[in-house]
Amino acid sequence: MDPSFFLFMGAVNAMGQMSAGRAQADLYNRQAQQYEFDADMQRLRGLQEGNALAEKFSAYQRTANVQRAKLNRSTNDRSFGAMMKKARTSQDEEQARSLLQNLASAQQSRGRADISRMEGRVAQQTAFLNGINSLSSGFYQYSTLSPS
Amino acid sequence: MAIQVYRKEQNFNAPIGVAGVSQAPTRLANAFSKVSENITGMVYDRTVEDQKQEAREDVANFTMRDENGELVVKSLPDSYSRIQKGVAQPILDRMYAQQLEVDIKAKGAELVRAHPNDPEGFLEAFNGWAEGYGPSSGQYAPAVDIAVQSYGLQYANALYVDKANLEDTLAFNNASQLLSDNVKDIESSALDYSPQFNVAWLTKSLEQVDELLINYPSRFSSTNADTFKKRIFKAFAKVPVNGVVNQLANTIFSSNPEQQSKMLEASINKISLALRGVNTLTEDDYNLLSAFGFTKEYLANTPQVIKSDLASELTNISNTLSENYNLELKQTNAAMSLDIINSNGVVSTDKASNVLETIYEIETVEDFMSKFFTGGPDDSIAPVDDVNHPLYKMITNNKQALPKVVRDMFSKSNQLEIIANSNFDSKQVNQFVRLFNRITRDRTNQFMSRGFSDETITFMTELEALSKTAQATNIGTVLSKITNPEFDIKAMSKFALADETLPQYIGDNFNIKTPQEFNFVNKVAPQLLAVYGKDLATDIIEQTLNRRFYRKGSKYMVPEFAVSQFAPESLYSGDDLEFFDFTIETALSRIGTDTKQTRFNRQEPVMGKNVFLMEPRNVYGPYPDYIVVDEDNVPILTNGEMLTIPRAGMIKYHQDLGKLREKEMMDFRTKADQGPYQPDTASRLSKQIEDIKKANENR
Repeated sequence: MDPSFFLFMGAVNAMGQMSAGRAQADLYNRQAQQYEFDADMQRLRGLQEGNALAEKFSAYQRTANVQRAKLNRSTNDRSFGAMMKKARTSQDEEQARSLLQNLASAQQSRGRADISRMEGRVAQQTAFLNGINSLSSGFYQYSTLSPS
Repeated sequence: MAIQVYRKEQNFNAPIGVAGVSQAPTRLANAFSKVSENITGMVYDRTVEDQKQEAREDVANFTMRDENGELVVKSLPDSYSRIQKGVAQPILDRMYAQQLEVDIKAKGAELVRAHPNDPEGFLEAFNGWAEGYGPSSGQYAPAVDIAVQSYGLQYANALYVDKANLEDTLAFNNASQLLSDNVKDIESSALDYSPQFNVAWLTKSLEQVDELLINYPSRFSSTNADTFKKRIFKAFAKVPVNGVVNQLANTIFSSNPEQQSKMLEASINKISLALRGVNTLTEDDYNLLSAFGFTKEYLANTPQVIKSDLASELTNISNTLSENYNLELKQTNAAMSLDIINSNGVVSTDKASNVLETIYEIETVEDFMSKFFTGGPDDSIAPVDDVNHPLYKMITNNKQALPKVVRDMFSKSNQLEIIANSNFDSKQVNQFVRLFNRITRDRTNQFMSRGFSDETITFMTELEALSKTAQATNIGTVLSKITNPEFDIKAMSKFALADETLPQYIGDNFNIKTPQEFNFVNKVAPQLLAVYGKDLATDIIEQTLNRRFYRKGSKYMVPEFAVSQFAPESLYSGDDLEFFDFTIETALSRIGTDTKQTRFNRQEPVMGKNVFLMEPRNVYGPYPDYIVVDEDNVPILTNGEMLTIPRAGMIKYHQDLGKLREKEMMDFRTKADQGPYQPDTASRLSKQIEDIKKANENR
């Protein structure tokens, strides 16, 4: 057998490894994009939930004012004022919780996207190293069998 | 009515989830890599093995020496890979190491031979050679230096040892040769055998042995010393015995060689017995023997082992004397037998064989034919044409069995060979046929078997028939059929018989009287019919029957076997038959009265009338043993045993006859040696008186 056969086989093997590495990295990139998309969706959900809470509180205020007017109470009515204050405090807490939760989820998705990209790069580097290994192995075999 | 306020459901967008990443590309890459590695690995292993094998074969065929036989150091070819070099280089190194060793050893051995017992000269020459040889060995030069030093020292040491050994060996050989010569002198009885002289020599010789043992312990062991001492003792002990035997040989004399031989043997045996411890020597014997040192003291003092050895040697001497005497006797007998033959007398078969062997040195058929048909340097004409030649007389005057070489000359195989060698010459055939007829006929033209086998008689009859017919000119064709293994006897004999069967043919053409005749014809007829055709085969068979069987009807044999091949009439000539008749009479006289009464109705048994000879079976040699039977073929018993006419009687008769003739010949010779006859009246008278006295005493 011609020793250059082993060089050829080493090269083919290395090319195959690198090509597979690129494909694997590509897949990880796509996964990262999905994670980023998910993060955006989570942020959107936070905004939607915040808006909903604001609207809910606004409706409550409107209803309460109607009731106060109906009961002929002043806007300075202390009990009414206390009720409204408590409601506003509660609404603020709810809105802050929702915001925190959604922002945290979105941030986690972005972290996962970073990890996926990193895995893609690692897969590509591993394939590259495997390719180098195949090349060097082929070269060793070639060198041992060729006239020295 | 209050207006219904719209209450919307709380529904928000949420993350849609992430699909997992497939590992397929990695798995594919791994699988591809695995397959690729496996294939490459296998191909690599195979290529490595191929390259290794190629390297081994190349190295094995490596030419290491040039056309002058000089070692040429070469490197491996550049085309070799690292693998090949890794395999080939160690092998090549070993091969070169061996060749270098061979060169060094061979040169060393050569120089050792050139410098025997000169180690210094050897080392100088060897190192001088190595100075030129080392550099030419290239990378192996250091190994050459080491080997040269090592072997050089070994060879030099061996030379030093050889040198020392040589000097020691020379000294030892001189000393042991001196001792050995002394002992040989004693053994050959070259020295005087006076007892005083013997004691001095014995003491000196034993001292020499002890000196050898002390001075050369590595060359002369105590076992050697014991053996040597035993030899010395034996040599000295042998001196008296030798003296006695020599004296006996010189003093015992008799005009009769047999008597002289026996006397000498008896005397030697007496000495031998005395040495073995069976002493029959008388005082007178001792008085005579003491002159040679053979005394009672000698017998008492000599160790038994040595005496036994001496006795064995004496037995050998005695046996040699017997052999010499037997040889002499054989020669004497042959000379006497030759005289008898020359005077037209008859000698027995054994004596005739002895004459052929001893006088004419004939041992094979070829010897006999050469002598008989061409003659020796003393014969003016060949014995076959000289009726006065002893060989001619021996085979024609005698009617008993012929010596074996003569019988073998007429055997079928020998005759076929002779005829083939003579290019189927009919004269040659006629010569043998005539000779055969001459020696197998008695005076009355009766066929005598002379010890010839059935095959020989049949074949000679065939030859006779052939020589008489027109086919004689074509004898080669006929005989080639006999010797051709592919000749189909069965088919050709059937062809010759045409419509007849073999038993019909035998019944129609031959007057068969006994089963023996029928069996004989049945056995020989197919081949004869196949080879010769019906007419000639019938003639041959008829003649063979007449020769093989006594067809006139024997008066001795049982009537139904009157036609017998063992009829005494065809075995014995006229004179012999008279003695045979006498033997029968003697045998018949042994038949008791009771037997005569019961078996013969009180009549005397008479051969051919009421007693007969039974057809013998299992016959060994030319003469059979006959059993005497009555008319009913029942054996006659005497003293519980069958009455027989043994062949031993006839053989002894021939022997006695021979002895008688020998005695007559001896007497004749004695008288002839005494010179012309001179009458001595006084001695004749005294002899007559003694004869008369003896006769009276016998009465």
